[in-house]
Amino acid sequence: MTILLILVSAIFVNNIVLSQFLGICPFLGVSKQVNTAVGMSLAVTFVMALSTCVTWLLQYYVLMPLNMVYMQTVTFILVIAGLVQMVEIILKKISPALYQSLGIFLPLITTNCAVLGVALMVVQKQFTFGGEAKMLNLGESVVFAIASAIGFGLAITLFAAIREQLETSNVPKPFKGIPIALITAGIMALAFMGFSGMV
Amino acid sequence: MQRAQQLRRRTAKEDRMKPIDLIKKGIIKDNPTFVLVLGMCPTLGTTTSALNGMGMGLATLVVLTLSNIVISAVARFIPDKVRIPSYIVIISAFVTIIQLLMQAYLPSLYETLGLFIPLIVVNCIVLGRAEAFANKNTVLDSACDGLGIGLGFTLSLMVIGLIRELLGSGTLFGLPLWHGDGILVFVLAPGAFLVLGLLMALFNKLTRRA
Amino acid sequence: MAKMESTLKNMLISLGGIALVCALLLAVVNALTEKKIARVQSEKTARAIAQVLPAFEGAPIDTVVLLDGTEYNVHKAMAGGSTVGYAVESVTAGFGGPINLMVGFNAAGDICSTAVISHSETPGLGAKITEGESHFRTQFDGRNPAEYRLKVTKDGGDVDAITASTITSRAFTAAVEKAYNVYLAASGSNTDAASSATAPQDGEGGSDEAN
Repeated sequence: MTILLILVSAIFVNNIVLSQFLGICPFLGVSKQVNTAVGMSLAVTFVMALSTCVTWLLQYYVLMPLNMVYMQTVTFILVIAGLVQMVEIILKKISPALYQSLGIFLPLITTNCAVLGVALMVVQKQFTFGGEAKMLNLGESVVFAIASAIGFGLAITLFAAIREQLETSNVPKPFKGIPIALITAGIMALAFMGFSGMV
Repeated sequence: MQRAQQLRRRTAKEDRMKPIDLIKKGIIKDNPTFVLVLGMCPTLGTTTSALNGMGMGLATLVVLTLSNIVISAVARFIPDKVRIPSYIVIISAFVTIIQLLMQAYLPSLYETLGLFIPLIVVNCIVLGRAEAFANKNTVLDSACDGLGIGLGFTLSLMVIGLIRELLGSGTLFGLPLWHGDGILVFVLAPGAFLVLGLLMALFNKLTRRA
Repeated sequence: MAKMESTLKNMLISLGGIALVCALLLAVVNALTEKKIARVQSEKTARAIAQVLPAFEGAPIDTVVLLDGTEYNVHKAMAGGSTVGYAVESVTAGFGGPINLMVGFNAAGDICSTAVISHSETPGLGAKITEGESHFRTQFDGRNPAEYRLKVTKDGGDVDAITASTITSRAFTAAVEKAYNVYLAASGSNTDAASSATAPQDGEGGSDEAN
């Protein structure tokens, strides 16, 4: 039940892009075509789940016992950067085909603030799934990370589909490019607000 | 004729600029929000009021200037292959220092900005300036570049925050301007996208040479 | 200028060196700010306690009360040798995230006042729970939950909800109710009242928030 609540909440209600403002750079940058948008979201899902798992363990079994929570930001970002490198190397070795399609997105993910954002969120914030406020355990954190990534994927894919259509429409000159994309995103965010209060 | 002028301007910029010009450049010509379109997450996420936007901008300014200074000083001693991880460690150290200081001395602002303070680490502006400017320029120039870009960022965030606060809650820096509520949607998520999109279009309209 | 070559030794030395210097620097800054941060936190709690309780003498006595498997911080305030009241911290799930409340009770079990420690409700709607003279928050003051039904009117209680923010109002009310149960456990009053006050809430959650 909790898992279902986490999924609905992270994908629709508190969508990481449209209501938390994380991962806006790839949201605006890699959303010109649906194909690349899907590729990007798959890569993000993978890295986000993996890094959240590792950083959660680090937080509770290394940083907190050693009383070194102040090293949180430094260690988390290093873990993410390292993981991204590792995934890139492994992917290149075992599945060149997958590397071909996801490879170009991997370096961009290190500076995707959604990845670090989710890793920090699960160890800093109380969550309110099912009426009670509490910190997430390891399993729930990973589910939350995957759900957030799906939310990211949903938003960026829908957005890319709209932007493909925008290409052919007649947009006033000052609005061309980013401004009209932002306004489109604003209208999408309005639509996503309809989900609020569901969980 | 115009082209030649443009070209001359460009080479002059690349040769050497006075520190004050470096600062000015970051505010208008290379404005990180409206021209370079970098650091969008804090731009949208923290501008619910003018003060919040200003606080976020200033925190970024401090980190950016300090990391620019340190990186320009030590860049020579860092092998190319570990360049990026080294920069990230330096930047995240400064971010953590700011984070601890804010927690101690500005606790309420820290609570409002929340997650976006540690996320300065992955703000593309900071790493971007380290990579594009600080690692090949002098300490003084890098400091000015950081100040300029940081000021540009702070001003943009303040303007966005001001507009959202004015329309959304009917207040100006927390002072109520009229009785009753504002148009709530502007302080909520969609308002952030809409205001930034409209402002960017306006900026394009104003700066584009006809 | 001569760049360092990317040999393994150079890479390890420079990256390791930078990491070490940064870690040391952070340890120093942390040591310098640690006490101040802790003091800011405790001052915040102290302010909330003073806000929700009648005048008391000395520092309140902090205890932890375990109720239904959850730990609650309770601060007992004394004056002239007798207990003047209890301030109870409680948390519930609001509309945008947790709502952390400090609820003060006097010796008779009346709610003296409430203070919001932290929340993430929608500005202009649910966030009205924090507004100083807000009717919503002050309607609890001076009431005794033994006869004042801690439910919003929509759910058959006595609490007037904030317009268009039913979920926030319910969560706030539930937090006050929780605090009352903790108060009963802490002050050692009869437990019958506690169990009747925790009667299951009908129409759980509710998706009729007009946001």
